[in-house]
Amino acid sequence: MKRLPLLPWFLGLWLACEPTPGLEHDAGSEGIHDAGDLPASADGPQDLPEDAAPPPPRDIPGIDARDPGPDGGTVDLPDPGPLPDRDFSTPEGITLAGRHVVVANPDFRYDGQRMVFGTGFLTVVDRGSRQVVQRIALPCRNPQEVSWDGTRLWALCSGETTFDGTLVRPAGQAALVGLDRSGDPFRIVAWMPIVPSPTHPLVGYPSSMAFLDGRAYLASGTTAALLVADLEAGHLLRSPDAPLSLESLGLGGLADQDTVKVLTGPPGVLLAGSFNRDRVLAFRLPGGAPDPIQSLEVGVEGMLDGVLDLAWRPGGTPELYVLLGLAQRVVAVSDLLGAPRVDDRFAVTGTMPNRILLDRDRLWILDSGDNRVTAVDADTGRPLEVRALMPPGTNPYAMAAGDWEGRPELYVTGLRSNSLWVFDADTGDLLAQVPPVP
Amino acid sequence: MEGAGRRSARCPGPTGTWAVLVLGCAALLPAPGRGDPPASPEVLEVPPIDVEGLPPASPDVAGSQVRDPVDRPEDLEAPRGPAAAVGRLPAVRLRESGGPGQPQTVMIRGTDPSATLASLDGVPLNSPFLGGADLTGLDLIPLEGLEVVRGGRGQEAVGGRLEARTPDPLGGSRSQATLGAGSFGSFWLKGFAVQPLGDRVGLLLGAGGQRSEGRFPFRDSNGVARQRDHAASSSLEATIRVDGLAGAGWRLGGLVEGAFTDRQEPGLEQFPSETATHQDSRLVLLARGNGPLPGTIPGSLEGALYYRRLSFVYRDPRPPMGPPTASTLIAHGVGGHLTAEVAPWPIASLFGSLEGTGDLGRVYRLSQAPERPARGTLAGAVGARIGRSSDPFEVSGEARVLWAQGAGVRIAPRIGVWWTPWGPLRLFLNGSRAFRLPTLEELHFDVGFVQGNPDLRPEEAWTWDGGLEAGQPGTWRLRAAYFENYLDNVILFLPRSAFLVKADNSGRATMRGMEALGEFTWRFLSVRASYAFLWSAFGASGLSLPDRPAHTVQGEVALTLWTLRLAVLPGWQSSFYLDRFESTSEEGRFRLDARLDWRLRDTVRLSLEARNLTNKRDAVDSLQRPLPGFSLWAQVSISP
Repeated sequence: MKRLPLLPWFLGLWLACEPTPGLEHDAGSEGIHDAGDLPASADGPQDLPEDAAPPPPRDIPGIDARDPGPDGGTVDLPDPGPLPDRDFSTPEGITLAGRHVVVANPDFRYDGQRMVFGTGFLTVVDRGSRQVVQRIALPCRNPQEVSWDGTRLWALCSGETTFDGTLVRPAGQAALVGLDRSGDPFRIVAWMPIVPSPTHPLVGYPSSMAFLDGRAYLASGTTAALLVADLEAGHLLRSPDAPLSLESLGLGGLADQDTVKVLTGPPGVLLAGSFNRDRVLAFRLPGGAPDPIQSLEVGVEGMLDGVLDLAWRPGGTPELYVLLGLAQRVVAVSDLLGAPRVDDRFAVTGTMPNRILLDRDRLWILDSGDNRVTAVDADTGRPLEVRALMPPGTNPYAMAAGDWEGRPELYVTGLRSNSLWVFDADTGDLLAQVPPVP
Repeated sequence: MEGAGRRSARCPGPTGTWAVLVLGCAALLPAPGRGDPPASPEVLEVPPIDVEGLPPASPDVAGSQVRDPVDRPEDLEAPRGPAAAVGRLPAVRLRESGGPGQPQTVMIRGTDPSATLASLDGVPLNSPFLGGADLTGLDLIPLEGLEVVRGGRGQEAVGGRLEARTPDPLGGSRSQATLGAGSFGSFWLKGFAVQPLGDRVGLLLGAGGQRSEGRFPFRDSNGVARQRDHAASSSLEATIRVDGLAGAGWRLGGLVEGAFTDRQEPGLEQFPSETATHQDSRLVLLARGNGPLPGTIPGSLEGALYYRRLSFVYRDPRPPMGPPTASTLIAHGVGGHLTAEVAPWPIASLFGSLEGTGDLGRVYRLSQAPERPARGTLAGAVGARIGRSSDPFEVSGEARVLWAQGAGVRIAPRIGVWWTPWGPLRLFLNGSRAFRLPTLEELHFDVGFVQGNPDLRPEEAWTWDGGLEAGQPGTWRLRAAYFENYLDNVILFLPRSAFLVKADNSGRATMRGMEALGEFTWRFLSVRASYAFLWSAFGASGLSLPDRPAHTVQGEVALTLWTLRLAVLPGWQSSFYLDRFESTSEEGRFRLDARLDWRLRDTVRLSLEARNLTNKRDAVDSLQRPLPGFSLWAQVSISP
C-alpha cells in the first residue's frame, strides 16, 4: 500500500463530477516514505571513492539467494524471486555512492484493484557512462529508500500493509539490507528483517531512515514510532515489539495512525516530522530514550498540512526546511535548538511536492504533480531560474545531487517513466535519461 | 411555474381568465435584476389583454430577490450556447473544465456548484451523487430563457439558482433550425418547432446534436507548448413539451427531455489520459398544472410532479495512476410540489406549499458490491406577501420546515422587502436561511482510502443581501448589491492521515461581496458592464476558499446597425487560489470575445463568434486543466 497520491487532484476531480477512484491507490507521488538520507554533502563529489575505475559491464544478474557474506561467509537470505526485465521498475528512492547512482525499485503494479509487489531491487548506474552496471534483487518487498553512509549502502524495504477501512497496518516482513563494495560493485552483507508485532500492530512499515552513531533509526510509516538497528552488529535493537515511541515528544501513541519522517540533525540530534500532527521534533537519545530539545507546530491550525520531508542545513540561517506536502509549501526554521523562528511561507512549491534537497546554497523542490524540479535560494526562499523539466506522465519521485567531473548534476527517479533522469544542476538542461529513450 | 412570477394590479388578477400579461406587464413592472426598468411613478394605463397562460403569482420568488434574466436572442442563440452569457453576470462564475463539450458548472456569489440549484422548467438538474449540474447540455435544449436568482432557498440553494425555461407551446407557432461549426473540429445541428394542436393545445418538439474533436493547443504549467488530446465529446438531446388549456382556467402541461453525452476524458495537464471515458445521460419527465383556486376564493394553485433519471458512467481501463476504474452512478429521482396562493385582501396574499423529493441511487464500481443509497426530503412552507402592485413597496416572508432523511428537521425562514422611495430608485433587502444536503457520494462513497461519511450534517447557511436599483426604461439602468453568506458545517473531503481521505464537516466559511451592474443604451450603441468583488475565508484557518477571484469585471459594447449587431465582450478576473492553503494560484487574466450577428429578413440569422481573441493559451481551470486559446465559431439559424 502506498500513501494517497495526487490527493488534491483526486478531490478536485471528484468534486467536479469526475470521480476517478483509481487515483487514490496510486503510488506515484507519495513522499512520506522518504529516506533519512545523509546530508546532501555526503552525496557530493568530496566522497568520491577510491574505485574510480572504469565501470564493469552491465547486465549483472541479481545475486544468488545465498550470497557470499563478509569474511567469505554467507548471509542467509530468502529467495528474492526473479528480477523483472527492465532496468527500473517503479523507481523511488535514490542515493549517490561515489561514482554510482543507486536507485530503489519497489516493482509494484496493480492486479485488478490490488497492489502487488514483485521482486524489489536496486539499480546501480555508473555516473560516467550513464549505464546500468548492476541490478541487485532484494530479499524483501517494497524497497522504497536507499542511502549511502560512506561505507555501506542501506536499502530499506517497507514491506506491505493492510487496511481495515480506518487504519493502515504493516503486513508481512520489512527489512533493512546492507550492501558493501566488495561485490561487483555491490553485494549484500547485512539483512535485518522487521516482523510486525502482535503487541503493537501499527508499528512497522519503515519508510524513512537516518543514521546516528552507528545506528540506523527507522521511522514507522504507520505510527509515531522509531525502530533502531545496530549497523555494525547487524541486528535490531528496537523492533516493532519494543519500538521507540514518540508520544512523549508530543506525537500520538502507538495506537494512533501517523507517518514519521526522520533525519539526522545537529551532532547527536535526530529530527522527526509528523505527517498527522504537522509537528517537527528535535531530540537526543541518551540511554536510548528520547530526550526532547524542541517541538514545533509547523502547519496551519485546524488543517492537515502533511509533513513530507525535511532538510537540514548545518550552521545555516535558516537551518531546517520542512516540506508540507498537502499545503504545498516549505517552512523554514532558524535557530532550531535555541529560540526558533519559523517562516511558514518560506517557499511555495508546485503541485504535489514530494521531496526537498539541500544542495549548497539552494534548495531543490521536487514537484511530482508538475513533473519538474525547481530551486529556491536557501537563504531567502526566492525562486531561482533553474528548472529541471520532465515529460508529462513521468511522475518524478526522489532526487539526489552531486558533482561529477566538475559539473553539478541532479538525478531524479521517474516512477512512471521507469527511468533515471540526469540534469545539469546549474542550467536544468537534461543530460541523459537512463535507459535512453529509443 | 414559469413566466413572470410577479403580481401587479395593472394586470388582471389571478382570478377570472388566465389573463397574464406575460410580456407586456412584466416589462413594465419593477423587478430588480430582471433587466426591467424600475416602475415609473406615473400610472400607466394598459389595456386589458386576454392571454390565457400562466398564473400570475409565484410565491417561489420574492419580488425583492435579485434576478438576472438571460433571454436576449444573441445570448440564447450564441454559437457556444447560453452558458457563457450566464457566466458574464455579476458574481456568477462559470466553472469550466477544459474545451468544448467538457462539463461546465455554475457558482453564484461564491457558493459551490453543489450549493447552486440548476433547474429545467422547475425540475432540479443537480446530481444527487455529485452535487453540481452540468450546464453544457443547455446548448442543445430549446430555451425561452434562463434566469439567475440570487440568494438562499430551503434545502436546495445557498448562493442562488439558475432556472432554465423551455419555450411556451401555447406561445404561437414558430420553428427554428440551427447549424454551426467551429474550432477544435466542432459542429452542431439543432432545431425546434412549436405547433398549436387545435385551439387549446400546443406542442414543442426539439432535438439537437453536437460533436467536437476537442483538441486544442495550449502552453502547460512548465511553459511547454503542447496539444490537448483525448478530449472529444458528442451529445444528443431531445425535448417534447405539450401544454393545454383545460376548463375552468386550468392549464396542464407535460415535458419529456432526454440527453446523452459521451466524452473522452483528457485527464490532468501533467498526467493526461488516453483511455478515460465519461458518459452522462438525463431523462426528465414532468407533469404540471396550474389554475385558479376552486370556488370564489381569489387565488391560484400550482402543482408539479417529476421523474428524473441521471446517470454517470466513468471508465478508465489504464489510468495514468492507480488501478483500472469503472464507476456507474444512476440516480432515480421523483419529486413534486403543490403551491397555493390566496389573496383575501387587496394588500396581502398568503401562500403555502408542500414539497417532497426522493432519490434512489444505484452504484456500480469495479470490484465492489453494488450499492443502493437513497434519500428523501419533505418540506412545507407558509408565507405572506404584503403590498399592492400599485404600492411602492412589498414585504414578503416565508417560514419553511424541512425534513431530510438522515438530517432531521430544520427551519428555513426567508424575508424580503423592496421599496421605491423616489421615482426610478428602488431599494431591496433579503435574508434567508438555507441548507445543502450532503450528496450521496459525500455520504456513501467508498473506494477504500477515499471515503464518504454517513454521519455528515447538512451545510447550513444564513444569507442576506441588500442594494439598490435605478434606471430609466430603455436608456440606462444601474444596480448594486452587497451580500453575505455565512456557512457552517462546510463539507469537504479532507485527509485524515497519509492514507485516508474522508468527507467531513469542516466548520465555517464566510463569503461576502458586492456586485454591480450597469447598462446604457443610446440609439445604435449599447454598453453593459458588471463588477463583482468577492471575499471568502474558511473559519478555522482564515484562508481563502479556492477558485474564487476577488475581482471580476465583465463588459459588452455593442453596435447595432440595421440588421447587423457587432459586440465586443471584454472580461477580466483577478488571480485566485487553487488550493485551501493559498499556496497554488492562477494568475489574473483578461479575455476578449467578439460576436457578429446578421439578421436577414427575420428568417435567417448568421452569427460569428470569436473567443479568446488574445489567444491566451496558458489559462487553467480550477483543477489546473488547460483551457483553450483563440477559437472561431459560426452558426446559421433559420426561422421560417
